[in-house]
Amino acid sequence: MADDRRKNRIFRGSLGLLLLSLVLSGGCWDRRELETLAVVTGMGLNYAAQGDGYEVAFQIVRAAQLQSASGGAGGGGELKPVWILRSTGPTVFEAVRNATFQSSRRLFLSHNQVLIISEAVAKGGLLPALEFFVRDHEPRNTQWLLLTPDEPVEILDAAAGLERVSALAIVDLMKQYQLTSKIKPVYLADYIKTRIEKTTANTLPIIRIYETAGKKELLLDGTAILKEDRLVGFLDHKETRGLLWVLGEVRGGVITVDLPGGGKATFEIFDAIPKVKVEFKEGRVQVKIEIKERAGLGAQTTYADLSTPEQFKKLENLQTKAIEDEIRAALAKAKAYKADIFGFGEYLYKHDHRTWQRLQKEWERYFVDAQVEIKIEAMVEELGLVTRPATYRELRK
Amino acid sequence: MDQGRISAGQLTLLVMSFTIGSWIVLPTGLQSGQNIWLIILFGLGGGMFFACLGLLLYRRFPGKNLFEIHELVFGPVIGKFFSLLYLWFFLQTGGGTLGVFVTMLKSTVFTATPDLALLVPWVIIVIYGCRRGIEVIARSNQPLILATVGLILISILLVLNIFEADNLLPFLDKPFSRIAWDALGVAVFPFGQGVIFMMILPRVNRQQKVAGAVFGGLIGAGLVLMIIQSLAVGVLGKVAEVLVFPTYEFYRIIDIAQVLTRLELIPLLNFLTMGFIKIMLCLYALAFGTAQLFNLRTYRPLAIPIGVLLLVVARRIFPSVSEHMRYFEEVQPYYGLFFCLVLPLITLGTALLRGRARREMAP
Repeated sequence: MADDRRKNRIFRGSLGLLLLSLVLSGGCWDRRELETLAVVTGMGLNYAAQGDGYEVAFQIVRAAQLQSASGGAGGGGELKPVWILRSTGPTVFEAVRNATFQSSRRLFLSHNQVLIISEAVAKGGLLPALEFFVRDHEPRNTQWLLLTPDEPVEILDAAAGLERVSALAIVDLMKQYQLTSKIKPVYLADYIKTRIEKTTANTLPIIRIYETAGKKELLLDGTAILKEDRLVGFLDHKETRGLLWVLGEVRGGVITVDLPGGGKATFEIFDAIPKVKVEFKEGRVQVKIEIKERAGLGAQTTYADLSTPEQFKKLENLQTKAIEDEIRAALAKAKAYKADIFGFGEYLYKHDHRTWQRLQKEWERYFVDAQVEIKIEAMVEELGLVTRPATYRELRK
Repeated sequence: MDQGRISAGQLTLLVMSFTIGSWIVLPTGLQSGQNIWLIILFGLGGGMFFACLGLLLYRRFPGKNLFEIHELVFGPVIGKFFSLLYLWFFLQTGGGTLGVFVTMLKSTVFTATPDLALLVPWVIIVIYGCRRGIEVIARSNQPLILATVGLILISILLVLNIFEADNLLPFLDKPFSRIAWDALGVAVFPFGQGVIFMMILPRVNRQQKVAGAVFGGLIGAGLVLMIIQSLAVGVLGKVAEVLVFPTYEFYRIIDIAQVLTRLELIPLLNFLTMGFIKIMLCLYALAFGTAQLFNLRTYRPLAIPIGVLLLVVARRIFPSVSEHMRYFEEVQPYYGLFFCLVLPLITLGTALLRGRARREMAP
């Protein structure tokens, strides 16, 4: 009897152990510790120099070096804080795996921040190169996409200004776009989202290298237009903001106007709220763009007193014209490339899908032919800290 | 047999969890994109209709579960055959659900973990819960469903800065036949699978509240599914159509001031808890039904072998995720309809005919 009970207890105990081991085994079998990882912060995509396939460049952070720099210890043979690596393969995925021929640690893509794409890849179709990053579970959809006319690997290797890692510098460049609103930052998720729309063309910001004081530095330089996944043209800074006005992504920046009678005035944009309406009437696509903008006077190069309500009215009109100018410029470029970067077609699809069904096959033609009406309401609200330039003025009677 | 009793409120929550269950992970009808909420609404309507059928049947035989009803209506032989068909349906539902979760875990977070290491602990817990009886299942469900609904409501706040209401337009741009087909798919799975509750209704302590509880659960689940799918479409736009797990994916884009990012844990938590309840209910219905079929005194010893069977089915039922999706797209609507519409209709029709015959004979 007692023996039975003991057996029973042993049986139960071993059963419990077995269950425990099973439950514990259900964890993450691909977990890796930080010191066994190569954390990738930036990647570059290019076609392979020989044969078909891709060449992928990686920027891997040397975490230890980052720390020693902030400590100021430095020392003789200090390594760069990043390690640049290149590997090739018939697909991006294979190229990523092939990197382990050179890297002692497996590459970890979850913290990748930027994807630098070469012009060649953008010309040959971007989605086949990006596909891996959406499909694989490691990379996030919140990586910034940038296009470069230079070698992507050079961008990753460039001096990063005040930062230690160029990819992180690029992230900051993207995040402060609203200081000028002349760059359109694009997430991987944004690209995919626009790409799946039938009529909308994609844009990517352009980054390139320029040399100053013997160092290679980074420079954001306009916007690329990709139609049907392929690079077709470029917008300069002014045209880019023209695009952003319509998309409602102008969140700040400055705008300069020529004053009548010489001189210039620069305004700081506070915000701008657009209202776009697309209709199909009388055989043409009619677009109505209304923008409400608020700004403040930021600088002037004349001695005139611009602070009076009458002057404000004039300044507002000047600004209205300047904004319309920018939009028209972007529109002209887009029409020249026959690329609907504004998403007018998508708007029509969302609000009048029956008409869109009829037009979508020849949307290019309708887009070029579209009649665009722009109405801008600019408000100058603030003066800064002075009313007028500090010149002596006679007392008014 | 299980003498446990649950309250009507617990039944409502169980219906909710079961319905949210696995559909939230691998939704059907995604081709309808921005109209997914409408599909769910129509599907909910269809599901309510199926529930009406089941409840009508239940009203004719109060206090009897589905298998007892079968035997009363068709006699022991044919009745047992019908019950056997339903046993297969429960097995397939439970195994399929388990399969979905393993697929999802393997393709998102546990990429290198073997199937069995994920399945076995899960099945052990499910068996444990099943052996404890319906009372324990219902009680363990309460905090889980509260957490799920709570997290989904919080998600509304989390996506405010990336949600674009425009993505939910245009309204109805697909042909109506397409919408109807997708809605049928949703009506059958997940709502129609609720036929499993025919095994549990007699366990409710206040029988007059059963109908209200079931409908309440269905509506609650419909609302939750509508919210989360609308969030996914509003955040992802048309991309939701190409993603395998859109409800998981949109949490990965959340970025609030760089502090609240990488919130994949939220959907995983929701999915796992809801799937846990769904599989447990399937196993309970299976074990209970089998015991009844063979006139056993208790269902408890059956939980282990049937649980293992569930595990085997889960590994074999869908050889690949592509076949899985094709199945839900093209086969499931017919197949599910057989169990949540055709069979109950036959049973109800026969019951009505025989009931009338009996009444005519009586005087």
